[in-house]
Amino acid sequence: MRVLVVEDDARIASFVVRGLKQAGFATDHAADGDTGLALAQSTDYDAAIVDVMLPHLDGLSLVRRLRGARRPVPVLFLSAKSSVDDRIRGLQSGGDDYMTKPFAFSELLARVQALIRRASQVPESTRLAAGDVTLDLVSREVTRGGEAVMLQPREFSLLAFLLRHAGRPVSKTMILEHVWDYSFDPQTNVVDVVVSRLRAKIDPEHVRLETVRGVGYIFRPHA
Amino acid sequence: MLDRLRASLALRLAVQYALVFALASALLFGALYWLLADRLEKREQVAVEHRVTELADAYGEGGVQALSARVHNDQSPEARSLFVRLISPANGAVFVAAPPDWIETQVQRVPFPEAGMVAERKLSVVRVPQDALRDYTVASGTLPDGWIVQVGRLTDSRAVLLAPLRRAFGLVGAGALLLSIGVGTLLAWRATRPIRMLSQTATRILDQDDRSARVTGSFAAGELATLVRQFNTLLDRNATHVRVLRDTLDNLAHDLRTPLTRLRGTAELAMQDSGDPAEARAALAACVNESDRLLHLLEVLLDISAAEGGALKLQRERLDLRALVERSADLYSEVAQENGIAVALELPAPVMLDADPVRLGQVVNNLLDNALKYTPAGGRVLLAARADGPSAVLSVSDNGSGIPAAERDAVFRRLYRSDTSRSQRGLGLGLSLVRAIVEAHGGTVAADATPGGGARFTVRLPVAGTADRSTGKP
Repeated sequence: MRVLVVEDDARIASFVVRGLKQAGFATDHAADGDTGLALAQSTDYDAAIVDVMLPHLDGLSLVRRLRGARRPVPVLFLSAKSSVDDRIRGLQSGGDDYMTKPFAFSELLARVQALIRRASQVPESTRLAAGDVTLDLVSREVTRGGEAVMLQPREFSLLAFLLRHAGRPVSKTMILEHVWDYSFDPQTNVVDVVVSRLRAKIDPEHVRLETVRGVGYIFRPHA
Repeated sequence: MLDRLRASLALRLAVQYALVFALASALLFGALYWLLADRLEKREQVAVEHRVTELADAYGEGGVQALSARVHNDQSPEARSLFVRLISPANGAVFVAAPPDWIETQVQRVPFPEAGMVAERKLSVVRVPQDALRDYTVASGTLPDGWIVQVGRLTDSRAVLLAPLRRAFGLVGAGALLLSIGVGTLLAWRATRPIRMLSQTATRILDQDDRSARVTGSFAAGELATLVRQFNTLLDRNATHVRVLRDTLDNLAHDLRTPLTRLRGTAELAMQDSGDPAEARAALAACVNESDRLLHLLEVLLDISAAEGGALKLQRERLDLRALVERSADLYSEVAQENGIAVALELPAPVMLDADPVRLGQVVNNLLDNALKYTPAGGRVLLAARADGPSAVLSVSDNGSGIPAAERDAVFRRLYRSDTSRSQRGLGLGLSLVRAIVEAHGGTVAADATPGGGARFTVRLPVAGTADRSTGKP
């Protein structure tokens, strides 16, 4: 797995590159848009992390040109701007995901992994499982230790999302995006509320569905 | 003072207009002068020509004697004032009759006509300048036998004749010019008063840093009065912007200080090596949480400032308020359940309006969030949307303990936390954001009490079509 990081801020670039390497990715780093575009056109990457504000060639233009050249690499935009408008523009120019600075690295990692998985187009199984928890997307049946568990629709969606990212932390923002279909954080404690309900049904011992302070939640396949 | 006067717009205008006036008068006078002089001259010419014709007739009847007799017999003052000379081509002057008051030299100075001129034309008149004050008007007629009869008259020169006119014009003209400069300056001075006031005010603001300075005094209608009013409005608006900006900065500094202090304290504690890695991790996580909170606080404050300053970009689209209300109720359904609060919806008919769905969604969310926070378990929250004439009305009411009347305006203030709400989580910005967004949409929001004593928030927004995109707080 090879990831391109196009980021002009040396500190951010350094911690992203270091983190990705730790997670087992090969990484290339470009500090400006022109270099980034050249790299992206000459190498096949599994994903690219592109800052929106870049010297020489901004991130949006970079990705637009990349798409013009039919390079299908999945792109995650990074931006200091958080407005919904910027987010939409980022996705319209050919980006696949969007994160605002400052961000948690674990969330960045989770999003990059999700992008790569989506791009690899492995058909998703209708059955998700982690440890003794199974979830059937079609029959909507959930079991824990072989016993059926009754979940409300939102608890079901949340569990499905957590199982897809089992073993990796996911942020509240990601949960809101995928479970509630909210593109911005409405700043409520609804996620906490639903997580604690789900926990009560799936993990009453508090060993699987854990809160990762400062990041979000993680579902561990094995206690 | 003299320099100021010289540089004054009023004086310059007055002088320029006076100069134009003077030029026009001079042209008019010149034309008049020329016309008058011409008429006077013509009269003299006609008189002497007439005499030449008479004398030529007399000569034709009886030669020199008849002509002489004719001259001497006519003793009218008119006739006597004329000089008569008969010239033979061979012998020069044959007969001369001069007016009695002429002296010999004068007679000699009357020029003989030029040969060619007289030969070609029967009758000709010339005007001969004699001295500064007098001119000769001399007519010459050629007789059939080639002799020439000359009749002349000494007249006041044109310059003398028209001197009174020139004097009068000079006096009146100069007077009028001075008067026009004077009165013109005065009028222009009065008319340009608003400009001077404007300049004085600007000077006060620039030099003395007196930002409260405004152009005072009332001015009649007109462009300058409008300018002054606009200038004042501009200053007011700037002052508002500056004040809002300063307040925002003050608030921001104040509100960032507390969490930053907390953050710093937590980090400092984490650095003191207690030997327990779990404790250090917990402290670091607390730091991360606190940073997130700070970041969120900053974003909301900036959103509020942008909305209040009119800088919030609204992506308006046609939407049904009911959809936003339903979405919000759905988002909070678990929270409501958890708190034991029943959320009821009252959405009888579509409520269409042009609004930013994300921003308006924040409004509904924040109001509902607020209601859920302050309603005790077992309580009830009602979300209602309806069209009311030109307004779309959204109301969020609960059956909690309500807001004291004295605090109903204060709850919209930034970071306001009533005594009862301090224990609740939150930033104290939700309702400020609500008001800022609603007002950016051209609407209003107010808090009052339900008949049962609970709190009720009512948002009124212009319905689709009546919304003015530029409306917002200045």
